[in-house]
Amino acid sequence: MSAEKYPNIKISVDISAPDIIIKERTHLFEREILGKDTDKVREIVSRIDCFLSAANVIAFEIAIEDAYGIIPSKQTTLIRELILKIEIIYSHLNHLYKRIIPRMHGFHNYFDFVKKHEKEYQKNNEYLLRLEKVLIILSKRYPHPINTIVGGHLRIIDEDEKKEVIGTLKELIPHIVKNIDFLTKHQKSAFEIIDKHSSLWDLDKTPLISDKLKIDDEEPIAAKESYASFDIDSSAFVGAMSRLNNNKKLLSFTAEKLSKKYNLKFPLTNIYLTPVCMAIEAVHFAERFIEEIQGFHFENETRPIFEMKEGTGSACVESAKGTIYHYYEIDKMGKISKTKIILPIEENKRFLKKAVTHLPFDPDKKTRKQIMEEIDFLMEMFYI
Amino acid sequence: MKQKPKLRILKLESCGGCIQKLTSNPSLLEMMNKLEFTESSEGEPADYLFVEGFALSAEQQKTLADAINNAKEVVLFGSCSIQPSVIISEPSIKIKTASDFKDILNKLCGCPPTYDEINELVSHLTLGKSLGRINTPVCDDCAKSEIKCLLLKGVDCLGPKTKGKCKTLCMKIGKACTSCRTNIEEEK
Repeated sequence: MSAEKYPNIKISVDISAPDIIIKERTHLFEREILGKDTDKVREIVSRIDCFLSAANVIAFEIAIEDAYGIIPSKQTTLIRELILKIEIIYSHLNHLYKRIIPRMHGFHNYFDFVKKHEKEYQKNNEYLLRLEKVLIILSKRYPHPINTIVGGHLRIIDEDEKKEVIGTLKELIPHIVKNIDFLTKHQKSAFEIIDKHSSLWDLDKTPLISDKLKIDDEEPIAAKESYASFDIDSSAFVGAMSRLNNNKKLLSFTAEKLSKKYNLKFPLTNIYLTPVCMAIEAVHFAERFIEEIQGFHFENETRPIFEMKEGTGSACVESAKGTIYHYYEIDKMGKISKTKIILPIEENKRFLKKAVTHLPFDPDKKTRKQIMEEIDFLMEMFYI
Repeated sequence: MKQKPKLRILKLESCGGCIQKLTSNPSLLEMMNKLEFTESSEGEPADYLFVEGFALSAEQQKTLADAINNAKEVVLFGSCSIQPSVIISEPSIKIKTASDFKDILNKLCGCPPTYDEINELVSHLTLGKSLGRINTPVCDDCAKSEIKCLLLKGVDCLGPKTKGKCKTLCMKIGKACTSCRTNIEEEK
């Protein structure tokens, strides 16, 4: 398996005993953060992963607010929720259009797919570019957003921008619905490998920022407390599939219709349903985004004044790849003295390992190339 | 038919934002008419090598060294391939960039670079030219955009020592420059 394609993952493909080693890349960033001023940290965490850029920045900001006792305004929280929703849609579609769909067409190199399916590529890329524009409207720079900051935001969304983002999402929804049709037609046979799922949770909405966590059908628990004692050996699966499982009764109109049309039986445990889950979730968040932004009147706000002080704070937010946890201890000089960041790749690691080691390879019937392609496709389901 | 020059893209430690910008580029098809893009081709020769990020592990360093040896021309693709301190500045973390293996002329800064900057790079390469250096600081861009100097307001802004032509995205909304386009003077 190519080291350059997945820089943080190494797979040893011994057909009799396949295994996977995931390098601990998060620790690199934790080391970098130590001793830094809090205002430097957002630039570091935003560069952990370009597809989780806003999610990591927002998790950092909420954790610092927690440490300083700042309560963000309703408008700040809404802007953050909107940015997270669009980042999830954008990241999901990037993954589907550049990695999953080309593979389903039989291409392992995106550029070969582009050459052979020029029209499909152009349509998909047009939507990605329009979504990128929406992300820039909301976050002012993407990746590495700059609009939200500790305590608030620098700029609100004006009426023209509001119309533009709503227009983009309304046009996008039917396009994703068509994609779902393609994804289900190319669905691989079931590989039931997910036996525990978790996501942030609320009784009557599908939040991306919350301190309640739902694991399977258990009573919700305090998310930050749960992540503070995170155990990699008993972690739950996070990401689109887990969020759909937890939020099955709260899906948007079209997302619910789609889950019925394609006969999704909750809880979903088949890892090969990940692309369909991502697409349905993109529809869900697009519709919820429109509802939320349409009914809100943005007003200029004054940011709360706060002092740098000693403190401890943490936060959990949902990202495209799953729940993210940030924890910081700040000393009296305003520098980070301790940190812990938990990313979806770490939470899903044991499922990826389980999947790679349990995939029926049939080495007598398949060539090495076929087996490698199967592993490659399986890894894409984990959205690394 | 004349063969197109082969471009190899090598992703090392990075957020992936620069390659993302390359693959989403509205001019991708035009670029693909000029260059043969490959995602990974270990050991195979390439005319151009775009390096995103920096090498941490011995394995990454070996991959990088091999890729450089097999390429006629190397391009540092994005700020962290030029100056890793855009992401990692902790001295105890040992890092190697492509510049540690070879003198490199083409350095595309930006975190990530814009679509226009990527198009300009590809045009230069296919004409056999090298990218020029950016010698003007972010302050010049602020002055052109009539943005009031944040330093004069007492804000710790890194604009004076940072490569300009950034469209002042941050300063336009009152946020100080964090030098994401790399330092004008030193590059590592």
